[in-house]
Amino acid sequence: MKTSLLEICDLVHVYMPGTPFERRALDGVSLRVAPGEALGLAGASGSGKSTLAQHMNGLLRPTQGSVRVDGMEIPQRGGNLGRVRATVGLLFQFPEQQLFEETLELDVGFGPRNLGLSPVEVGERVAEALELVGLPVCRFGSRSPFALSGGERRRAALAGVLAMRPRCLVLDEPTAGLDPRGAAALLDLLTRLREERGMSLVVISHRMEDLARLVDRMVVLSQGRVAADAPVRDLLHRTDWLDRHSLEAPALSRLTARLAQEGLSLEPAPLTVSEAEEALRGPLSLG
Amino acid sequence: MIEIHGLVHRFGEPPDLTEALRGIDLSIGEGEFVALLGPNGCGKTTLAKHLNALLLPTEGEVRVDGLSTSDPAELWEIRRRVGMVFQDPDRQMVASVVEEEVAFGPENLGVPPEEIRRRIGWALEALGIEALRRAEPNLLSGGQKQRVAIASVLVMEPRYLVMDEPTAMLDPLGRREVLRAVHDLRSNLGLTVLYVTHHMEEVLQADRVVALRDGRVALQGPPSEVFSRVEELRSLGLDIPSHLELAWRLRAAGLDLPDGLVGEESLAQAILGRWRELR
Repeated sequence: MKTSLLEICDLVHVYMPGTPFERRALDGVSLRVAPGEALGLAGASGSGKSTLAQHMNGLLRPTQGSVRVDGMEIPQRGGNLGRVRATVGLLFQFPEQQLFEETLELDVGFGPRNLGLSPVEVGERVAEALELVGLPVCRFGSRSPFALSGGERRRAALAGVLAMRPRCLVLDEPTAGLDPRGAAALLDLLTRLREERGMSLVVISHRMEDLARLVDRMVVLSQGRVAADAPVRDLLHRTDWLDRHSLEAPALSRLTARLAQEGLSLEPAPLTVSEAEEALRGPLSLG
Repeated sequence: MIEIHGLVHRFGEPPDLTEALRGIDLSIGEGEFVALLGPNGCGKTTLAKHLNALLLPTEGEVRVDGLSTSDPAELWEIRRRVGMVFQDPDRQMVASVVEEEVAFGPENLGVPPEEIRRRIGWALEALGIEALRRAEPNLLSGGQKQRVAIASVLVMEPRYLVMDEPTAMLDPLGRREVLRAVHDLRSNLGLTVLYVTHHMEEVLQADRVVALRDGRVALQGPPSEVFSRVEELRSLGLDIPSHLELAWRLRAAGLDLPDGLVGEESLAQAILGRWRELR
């Protein structure tokens, strides 16, 4: 079996322990992410997704249980997390709200500068990261982050994470609030990072259609526990189950379920419009 | 009725001049639900802000029940008649208790306390959040917060509700709650709604869909008509709900589908009809 890049075992997280506001946000979560794998993370608001994401690069420390990143265990307190953070890059929700420098080049270079790299190395990393997100340094480097469109700003924030050259990206609602074009560009970029760079992805999303495009496997959290850990194709077709967990089944899954109810089953259960069209050609004898 | 004639809006000075709206003609009738779609930067939000005089025309005119937004004397009456709800509920909250939040607008207008209490009760009920009356706004879910924001507008007794991407920051549950609330307000109170969004599946039930591009109206009509123009929609950078894209491809492949197909169930029925025929 391949070694895991990310291995989480019986993780418990309690916020504000010992106070009247004590809350168990994670209650025994276990999961693994292999190198190059893309995992979707879904669940209702308050199910613990963002808490779990923050454990993946040591922003939060386990109350109980363990989190290992490339074999390194994140201690409950203290310790040097430099290598953990270099391995796992975390992109928060609405990350463009954290852009702050005068130019894109300075903003993306912030992390590498803090690593103590030489100006030449910082420059290389900034150029590489901006190139990857489609904002080449020659055209965009000297622009203000605030002069970009919403989708561009989101990608600029991602460049800041990529400049740290992580092997795994954890993204919290990466397409929320983007227009359809901006969202599609971001999803394409993530697919490319995985295919061309072998990067692992952990993607938190409410949008099951985004997950269908991006990931192979999906974990659903419910009240701080793993309610399901299954291939995305199986999970997205359990429409009633998704509904019970406040998740919205994709339109194609609902349609597939409706057709199956009347005796017309599509094989394999389609995740994309092309797959659905293909699966229907036979039964409808279309050319 | 809201009438927009030749509306042009420019931001900034040369050389940084942007023309956000380039001549909009549009009218919104009493009780109508109009959805406004379009990619970022097409002018949706600018247009929405003209409807209650948050922005004033560079050229052209906007009239609300005959009152021109360019007439300073009518400003307050226009803002009372046209309520606005924005994307991020957190940025609209000022008070620490829901009922104080909702009371904020009418208190500022000097509405008598008895009347304010009556309106708060009525508005919270209309949005299904009576139980949250004494709750703290920042502890609510996104869908609840957004409904508090709508209640705060409702107590001003507006005739028009302008909503600028009210669900963009919400999870699916919150989105459903807000959409249901908007539809209820419309059918129970006869409010006129202008609903700005990126998500076409949210506007399948609108009376009319208006799509903007580069500050102009690019496309408009009832959903059943607009959503059959898949290629035009795609060229406008709008996302096509996947069941409609499937319908469009199946039609291209020779499946006989009824005109004006919008819902998933009607597509399912058309597919099943053909399938049964063949068996």
